[in-house]
Amino acid sequence: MAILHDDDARFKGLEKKIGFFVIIALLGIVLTVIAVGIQQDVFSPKTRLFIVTDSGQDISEGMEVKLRGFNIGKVEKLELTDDARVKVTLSILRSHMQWVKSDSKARLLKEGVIGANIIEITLGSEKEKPLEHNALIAFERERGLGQVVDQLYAEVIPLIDDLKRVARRADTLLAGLPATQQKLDDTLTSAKKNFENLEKVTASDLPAMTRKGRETLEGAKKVVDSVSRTWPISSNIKEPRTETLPVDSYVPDQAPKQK
Amino acid sequence: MRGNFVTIFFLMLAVLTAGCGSNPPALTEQQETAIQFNQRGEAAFRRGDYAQALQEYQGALSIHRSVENVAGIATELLNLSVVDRRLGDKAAAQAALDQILMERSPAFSADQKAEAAYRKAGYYLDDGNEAEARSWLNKALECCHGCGAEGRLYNLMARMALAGQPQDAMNHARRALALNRNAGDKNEEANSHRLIADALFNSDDFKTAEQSYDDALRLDKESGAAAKIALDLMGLGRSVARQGRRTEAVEYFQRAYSVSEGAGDAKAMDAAAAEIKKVAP
Repeated sequence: MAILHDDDARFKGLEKKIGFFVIIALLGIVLTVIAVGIQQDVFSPKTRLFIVTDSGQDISEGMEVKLRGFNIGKVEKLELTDDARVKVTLSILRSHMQWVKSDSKARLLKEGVIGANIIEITLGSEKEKPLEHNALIAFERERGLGQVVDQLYAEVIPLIDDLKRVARRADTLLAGLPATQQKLDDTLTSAKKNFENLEKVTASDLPAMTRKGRETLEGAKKVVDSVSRTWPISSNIKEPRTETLPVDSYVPDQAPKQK
Repeated sequence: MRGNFVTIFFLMLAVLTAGCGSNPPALTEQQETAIQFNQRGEAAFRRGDYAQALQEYQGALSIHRSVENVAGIATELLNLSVVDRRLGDKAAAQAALDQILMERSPAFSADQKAEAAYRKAGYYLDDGNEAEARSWLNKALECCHGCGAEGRLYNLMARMALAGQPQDAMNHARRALALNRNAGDKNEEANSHRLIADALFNSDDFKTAEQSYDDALRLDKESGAAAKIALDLMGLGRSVARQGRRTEAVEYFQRAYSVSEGAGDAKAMDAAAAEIKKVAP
């Protein structure tokens, strides 16, 4: 006890000093908390928006909400609705709400190929008004890599099957090609022979035949002409002669009217 | 023996009968070519291709000139004058006819000159120059002594007299009717009937005019001249209308309208429609 009642000058006002340090420390802690809060926008005014989706998969509390790559808020809460859907509450800094309009949409997507999931809000059009507090915003999920691969797979597989069938048919056709080529060769050879024969005929017989035909026709014409001039046949055949165009005495001559 | 007589009889009959007929002279190559040009020209004219017709007739004329075929030259000049008129070149048409009327060598016949003068008179009349028309008509009559154009000449004279001298018109038309009937020219015979009817109508003899229009209509129907059938029907309509038979008149005008409609003659259709409107009861 004597020690406690020691009159050492160094212990004078010790309680006050300790109290002072404690207060300074507490003040420091409070200021730090406030600074961190300000940095984390804890004290910034916020607007709550809601999205409703069929599944809460890949959505978690605290997830960043971005607009054109800038962080404008976060996912505040996820909860199940009465009809077993997921209601997601977004907390958006009020200072950025000027760009979140009634036609804006929220999309769940990945930042980069293997990046974290975020909710991206699209910029609304100028003519629309900013969304109000507790408003519902349209939501859609961007297809993930797995879904894209699945769809590609579903489309590529039938194509591969078709290619296989085409290849099998081409094999069959190619197998029959030598026979066809042989037939084609035969046909061409035969055609060549025919052309050669035709050339021989046209070179020798045809001109003679044409000449004979012409002579025969001329002879026939002479016979017909002389017969047609013979009485009484000539009386039934109108002799060719020049005709004069008439000029009517009653109606003035004029071109006939077009219908 | 009897069989031989019969054979000889038939042989002799055949020789004698063959002698009755004579073969026409064969055409020269130039004549054949000129005829072909002429026929192609006529075909082109009928289908309304007057530029082609002009070309063909000029071709025919060249051939006739190359062999101094006067009749052929006259024919082609007459044809060229008609084609030139259709092409709107009235001066060329007159010039073609002047070649027949004024050229001394080769000398054209009086008939050919009468035909050319008749055509000049007709063209002048169509163009409204009655004095020149009358002058050329007189020249045509001077050249024509039983020529082929005589009936047409008197028809033209009747047409000229129609407006002021209906009696003269009737006399000319009656003479023309006789000439055309003798010549077997049905088209001009119908014109004569129509001119007589017109003269009678102008003399207020509507009953007789009706009969003459009817005669003209019968002949025009035979030759299938739509424009003239319409004129005859119009004349009939006017004649019966003046006799107070308005319902019959409307029927004639309606027939005239129908004929003109079939021929695509809008002006004649309008005339018929106007008459219907005028006399419809």
